[in-house]
Parts: sequence; structure tokens; C-alpha cells
Amino acid sequence: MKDPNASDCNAPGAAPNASDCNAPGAAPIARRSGEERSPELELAKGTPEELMELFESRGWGDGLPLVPPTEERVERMLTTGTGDASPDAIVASLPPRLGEATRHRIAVNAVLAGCQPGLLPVVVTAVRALARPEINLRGVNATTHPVAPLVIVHGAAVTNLGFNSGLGTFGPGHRANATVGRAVRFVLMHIAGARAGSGDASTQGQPSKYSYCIAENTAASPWESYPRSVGVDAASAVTVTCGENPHNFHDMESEYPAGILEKGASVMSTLGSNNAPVSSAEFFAILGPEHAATIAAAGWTRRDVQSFLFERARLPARVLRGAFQVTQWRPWLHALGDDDLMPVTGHPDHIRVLVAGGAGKHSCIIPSWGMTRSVTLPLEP
Amino acid sequence: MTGIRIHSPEGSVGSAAVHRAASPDVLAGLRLVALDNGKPGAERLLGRVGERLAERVGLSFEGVRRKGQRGDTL
Repeated sequence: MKDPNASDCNAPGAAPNASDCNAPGAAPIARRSGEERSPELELAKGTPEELMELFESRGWGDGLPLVPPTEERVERMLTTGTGDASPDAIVASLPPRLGEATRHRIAVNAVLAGCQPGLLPVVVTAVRALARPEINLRGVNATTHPVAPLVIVHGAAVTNLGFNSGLGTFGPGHRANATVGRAVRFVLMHIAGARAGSGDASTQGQPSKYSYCIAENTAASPWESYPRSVGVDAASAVTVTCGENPHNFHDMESEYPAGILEKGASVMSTLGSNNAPVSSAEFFAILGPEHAATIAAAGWTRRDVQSFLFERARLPARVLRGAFQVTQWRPWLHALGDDDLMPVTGHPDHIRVLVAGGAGKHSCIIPSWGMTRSVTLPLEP
Repeated sequence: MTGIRIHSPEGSVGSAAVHRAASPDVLAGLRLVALDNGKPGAERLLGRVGERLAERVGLSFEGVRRKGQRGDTL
């Protein structure tokens, strides 16, 4: 079955360049009359191998197997848990390509990534967050730094949608975590145009560019939920922060907060971090439940953790000045003497604290790319 | 065997809010100022490029300027 217009490789919505018309397995794009949102491709056999060949020829996907975004699957994605949200409304315009992320196009990427129906609102909310100016998505996508958006799911959605907030939250084995992170990456690659060498200049990349999604372990947290701590009062919420891979710190010895957090501060205060020359940069301190319990048992609040890390994650000003030719530090930091200890970020609020993971004495620090700020939004379709 | 139809993951492209100014056809006789983006070595590199262009096409190189800091709001 072939569309009568299928030979027009230059039609609106067609392949990015004419050579794609000759790519293996690539039946030319056909646009169904009157449907701006539904350019389609035809696969002769519909096998996974054929899909992989087609997508590889167009520079789509992440190299791993994909789920064919058929009409039926996309419609199911669009109609599960999304209320009456319009599939054609533009959720965001994403740089550098200025691709228009409609709910429909996001759903196509969610299907490709293997998301189960019902997860689309999480991906859509993450895309909405990525489009906020404080994220600085053009920079995030285009920089040589290996930054990747981390999606953090909070609240009732964690249980209701099957996210793993416990043991191995950053790791494999849970479909919601794996596929939502992958779907966000696909949106950036396919809609925003952030592909290595074209829109994504990351020198080495990093593994979290495949998928990067965790959930807050509210049940194991001694403090109020993270969204509430930043003024978002919703049953479910999504945070997006653009940063490096997690930098682990372990402490199996300390019975008091300072010993644990000294190690976290040590991880934060490295010269290799892109945050070090940017005083507005954020760090996420993601504490394992056991570390958090030890800290809270001593009466420490989330604010105390932020204050301690701010106080202890420091290097001599002379060392920082010697390491960077170009800095974006607040004026008061410039006024410090060479022998003074300079904090690696300009304010305790830049250190974001939440609990995730399971049993064990491990926590992690996620430095950001620097010129980006996290965003937390209520989960909405 | 019947084939299957799948959706493209890319979608439409919007229009930029700001467009680049058109490049002049001839550089000779024009003045050139280079904008340092703040990266280490940018001033030196841009200065060399400006000097070379001045030699090659006869424009007037007015030097390298720096833009202000950004992303530091707190």
C-alpha cells in the first residue's frame, strides 16, 4: 500500500534532504490530506530490522531497538491519561531547530521510546519545563559540555505510573524510568534537533544522554516533598535539571551529619566541574534514605544540609582564580582574598536537596552545566 | 505481507523570532568589530581573524569588544 503522493520527496514534511529518499527501507514520506500533524512513512514489512534500518538512515533513534509508532499506538498514547488536551497544540518550540513539540509529536517519540500509555503527561510536563527560559535549552543542547536533562518525578505519579524511587532509581530495570528518560532524549534529538554533530556539540557525550529519569522517594524522606520545598503544591510534579552524570559519594562510617556531608562537599568542590566558574550554578544533592535518616535524626533540616554544603564545599580563592580565565562570579566573590575559602556556588539555595534510592550508604551530587537552572512544574496533561 | 505506516518523530519547524542580518556582498571599505563571546582564547583568535581579513579584503578592523556577563542573576 503506497500513498499516491509518495514520490514527492520535497513535499512539506518530507525527509530533511533528498538523499533520504534513496535510503534503504525509506518509502518516501506521505502526508495524509488535511492532516498537518500526521506525516507518515511506510514500512514494507514492518519488521524491527526494517524500522531500525529506516531510522538509522535518517539519523533517528539512539541506536537501540525502537517501538514502531503506528497510528494505533500513537492514538492510545494520546488518549490515555491526557484528558481533553488537544494533540495539535504546540507545547513548546524547542531550540536549536525550533521544532514545534505538539502533544502528538511528543507522543510519537514516547511510543518510539517504549513508553506505556499513561506516561505521556510526564513527558509533556518535562518538555514544558525544558522550554522555560531558565533552563537555557539552546545552550544545554548546543554546548560542548556533556549535560543531559534529568527528569525527577514526584508525588502520587511515582506509584500510580510505576516509577522506581527506591533501590537503583538511576539504574535499569524499570520501564517508566527508562522510557520516560529516553522519550525526553528523543524529543530533544528529533524535534529540537540536538543530534551529535548537528545541534549537540558535546565533546564526549555521557551515558545519561540515553535516558535520565528518577523519582523522589518521598516515603523515605524525613523532609517535606521537594516540590513543596520550592513552592509547588501539587499531587504530582516533575523537576528537570540539566547536569552531569551522578557523582557518587559513600559514607559507611559516620553516625552524624557532618561526616556524611563532608564527603558530599568534597565531591562538589572539584576544579573539573563546569559549575566552579559560575556562581549561579546549581548542584543537586540526592541523598540515599539512610544518609538522610542519619542527618535528620540529628535534627537537621533540608535547609541545614544546604547551609552546611555551602559552607564546606569551598576551595581557596587563589586556586579557583588560577584555574579559570573566564568566570561568572557575583561581585562579593571577587572581593575575597586569595587565602579565603570561596564557595563553589553563590548561594545555599543553589544546592537542591532531595531523597531517592534504597538501602545502603550512598548518595550523589549532580553538578549542572552551569548556565542553567532547574524547573519544577505540576504534572499536567 | 502488508506493510505498516508509522509516524515521523520530527514534526514542523517554527520561525525564528530574530533573523540574521544579510551579509554584505563586498567587505572592502567596511568597518569590522568582532564580538568576544567570553571563551578563553576568543579575543586572541578573533583579533587574528580580524587582522587577516583587513589584509585580505581591505576592510578596517576596529578591534574586539566584549559582551556583558549573563546567567548570574542571584
